[in-house]
Amino acid sequence: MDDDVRPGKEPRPFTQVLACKRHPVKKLLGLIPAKYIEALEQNQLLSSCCRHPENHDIEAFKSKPEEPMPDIYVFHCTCGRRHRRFCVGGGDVRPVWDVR
Amino acid sequence: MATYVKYDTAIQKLCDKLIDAFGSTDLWKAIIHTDAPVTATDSVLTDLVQIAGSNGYTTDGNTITFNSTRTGGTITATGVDVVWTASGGNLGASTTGRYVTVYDSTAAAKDVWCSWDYGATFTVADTETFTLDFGASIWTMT
Repeated sequence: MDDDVRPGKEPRPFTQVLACKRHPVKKLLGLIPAKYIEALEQNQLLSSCCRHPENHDIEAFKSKPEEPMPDIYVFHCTCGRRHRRFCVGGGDVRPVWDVR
Repeated sequence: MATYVKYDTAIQKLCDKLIDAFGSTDLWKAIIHTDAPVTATDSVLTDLVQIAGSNGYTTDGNTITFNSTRTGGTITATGVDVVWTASGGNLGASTTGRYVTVYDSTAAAKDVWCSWDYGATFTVADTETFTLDFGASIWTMT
């Protein structure tokens, strides 16, 4: 162990698990909260392709297996860029889907 | 929601009037850090190791549009989502961001309040985004 690392500061094991498989956003538009979509559409710092959510896939994760609902959503643009949303608050709707 | 972990000293600092968590008087910020929070001993911002202040990440983090209100005996804190957009390279020149902490930036010592664990390290590459979604409430306190 690195002597400079304070007790408790050591790297922890990864706990994140896949909750919902990657799926096209355009097939989930009625399910995904509008603010997720608008955040991409309205961010002028993004590439033009990334501002079109319908061109993305989305997948969902839980930060740890015990989480009752997904709390991480990753949008994958066709250009390969990813846009992550980490849901830390309460009282919001968390979309879930099942890909068969 | 991701597991909310309050630093042990936060409540003491609230009672000591070092942290003002009611209303929108104090400026609250969110940071991304690489080291695991030790809730028993981490107390102020300098106890944490942030990603570097570059490529869209500002050292000491982004401001939260924060407010809290009381209903009956419960205080509910709310905040507008924080979005980091990488520009010119990986956000904070980092591939090892993992934790997010919220702190009171007005407090002289920049006292930390709570943290969340993303569950894995993450990289925010050039023109990618990382959004901290506070939902309908960041926390409630009774």
